[in-house]
Amino acid sequence: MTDLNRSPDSSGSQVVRMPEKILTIACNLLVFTLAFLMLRLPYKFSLTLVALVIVALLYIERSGAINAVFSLYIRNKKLAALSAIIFMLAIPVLLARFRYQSHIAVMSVIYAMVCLGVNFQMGSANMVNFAPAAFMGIGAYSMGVVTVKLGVSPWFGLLASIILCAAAGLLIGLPTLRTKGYYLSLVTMALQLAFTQLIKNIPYIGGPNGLSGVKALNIGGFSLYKSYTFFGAKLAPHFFYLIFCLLTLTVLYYVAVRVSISRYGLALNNIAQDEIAANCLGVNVSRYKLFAFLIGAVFCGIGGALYASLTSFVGPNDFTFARSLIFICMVILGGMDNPAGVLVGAFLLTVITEKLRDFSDYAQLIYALLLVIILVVRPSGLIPKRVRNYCALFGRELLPSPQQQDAENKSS
Amino acid sequence: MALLDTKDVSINFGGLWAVKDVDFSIGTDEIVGLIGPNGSGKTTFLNIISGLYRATNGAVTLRGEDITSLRPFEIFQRGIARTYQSSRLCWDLSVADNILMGLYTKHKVGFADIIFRPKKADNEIYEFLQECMDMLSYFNPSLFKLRYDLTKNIPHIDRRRIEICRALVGHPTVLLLDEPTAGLNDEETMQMMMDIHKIKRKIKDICIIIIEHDMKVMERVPERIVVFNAGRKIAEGIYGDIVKDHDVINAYLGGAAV
Repeated sequence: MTDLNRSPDSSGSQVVRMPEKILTIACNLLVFTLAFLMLRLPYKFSLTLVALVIVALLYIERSGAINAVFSLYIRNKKLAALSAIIFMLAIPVLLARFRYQSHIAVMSVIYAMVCLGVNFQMGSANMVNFAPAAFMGIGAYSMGVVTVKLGVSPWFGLLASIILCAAAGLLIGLPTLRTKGYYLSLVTMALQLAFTQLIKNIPYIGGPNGLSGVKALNIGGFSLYKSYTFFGAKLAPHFFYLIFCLLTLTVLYYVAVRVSISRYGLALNNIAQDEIAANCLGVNVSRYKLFAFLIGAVFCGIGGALYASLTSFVGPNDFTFARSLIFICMVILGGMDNPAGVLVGAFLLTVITEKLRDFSDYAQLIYALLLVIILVVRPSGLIPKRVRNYCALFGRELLPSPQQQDAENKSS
Repeated sequence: MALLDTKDVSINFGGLWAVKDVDFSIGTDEIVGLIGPNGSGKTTFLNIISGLYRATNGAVTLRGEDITSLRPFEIFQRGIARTYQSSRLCWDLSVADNILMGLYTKHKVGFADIIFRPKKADNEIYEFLQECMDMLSYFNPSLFKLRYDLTKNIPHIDRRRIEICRALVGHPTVLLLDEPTAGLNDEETMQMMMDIHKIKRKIKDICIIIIEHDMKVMERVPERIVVFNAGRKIAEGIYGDIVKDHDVINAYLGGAAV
């Protein structure tokens, strides 16, 4: 906490600045190397690494290291963003020849999108939404119907997903306006269960058999999900798709971060903590709750559309209550109300589940165990939410008022 | 013309008239105190004005506009700000964030600006934050340093000040203070009284309605006092007259003391 309050210019000479830039790049390199290794290594090493990272994250928080890294990134915003994007795009290149590892990477990116959406409701506004998989399903089925039944371009499918999910978010948000806490969760839970039953019983979209043959996204005649051969090396079909998903995630992450530091995020936080106070400060509470549902649903929908396009199949079993619980676990594990934390949570849990495929009997157990440990040791998640520090964010110090200066003159 | 008027305001909670037929008016640049025994309907009356409860009968008007059936956020937008008996700050937000919420309705940037024109949105927050810090320093300069501390780590009297800053920073026309000295010791109560006088100096023409049990405060702060008992207004006047009023003594001490 003390680190956060330090003004951004307190260590401001150019001499100190230079290593800071190197440090920023080094931090990013470390993060993405770890991510790459977790994806690439065989399950024994990969899971050991995951365990080590979780322990390390739990441990270094005590010394304020996580906050220090965040402050570092904020002080060198542009450099941090640029280097992160470059390292991020290196991952698909390095994984280009590994089909399964690329698949895990794409899945974790899609789940991360959904989790960012859930975070608007769960993290910022404290409304536990048990229906993210339903929203994801709406997105996926929109994509499926548009490409399979109507036979038009998948880009229209993506557009339809966004529009339909926004509408569904509003529709599902409305009945939840009058409920709070557990009751709100129950309403969303019921909607999730109803959704699965509903799609099983609509023959037009395949009922329990689902829809197959969903088209992959393409640019002109160039399909994003297809195996290409470059200089004699056969690339995994996920190569371009992964790049596309990563870039989409970058955009969504940017939106999530902007919202969380803006007045929207502040109003949502205020509603989460004290609805009456927020109302008496001029916040239209209903509108903001709907906003959280709408934007969250759109994020889930984009994730769902990309998922359908990837697997080329949508079925009711992909969007069940159990899947919703996994998204909620990811958000809790990563850190509620911290978009960066949510990404980490989504990535780690996806890697754990995918790498444990051979032992899927034990996967649920390890999963539960991990969550219990996190909830006991650090309920706020691996990367807890941070206090907004506007000075650091804007790189401008606030001016002390005349009274402030008087008081300082008197004391000195 | 009076700034804020209530006419025959009553509210019924399941058969009990918590507030009954209260006529009340306050002009600009005035401080009015509300006193009365516990459960006499003072806070309920403030809740009606700020829109948290809707009056069963009667009307509340602000500058001639009927605000009885408006929702709390609409009433705040019209310039009625309030504090609470037990403070309603957000403990997990920083001091700066809490006060910034007081300027929430003044924001002009929309969602598109936040995403596509980050500079513009950030500049607006920066300017607002500067206003918030000026207001905070006006009441207690030493709080400036603690602006990014979580509110739960701040001493009680400063939390009260933060709450007042949050209500004042948007320059309201009416300020409702619900027991600002609750839980403060004698010395802090004196400081709080000074602060209330400072409000008048900072914001011209603001009118303040203050609920208080501490008679020292009631003697020195308000210009006029309204006494509530069992949901009704039983007396109104200056402090000197009120303390001699038979009905008031009856209500506070019971008939035997007279």
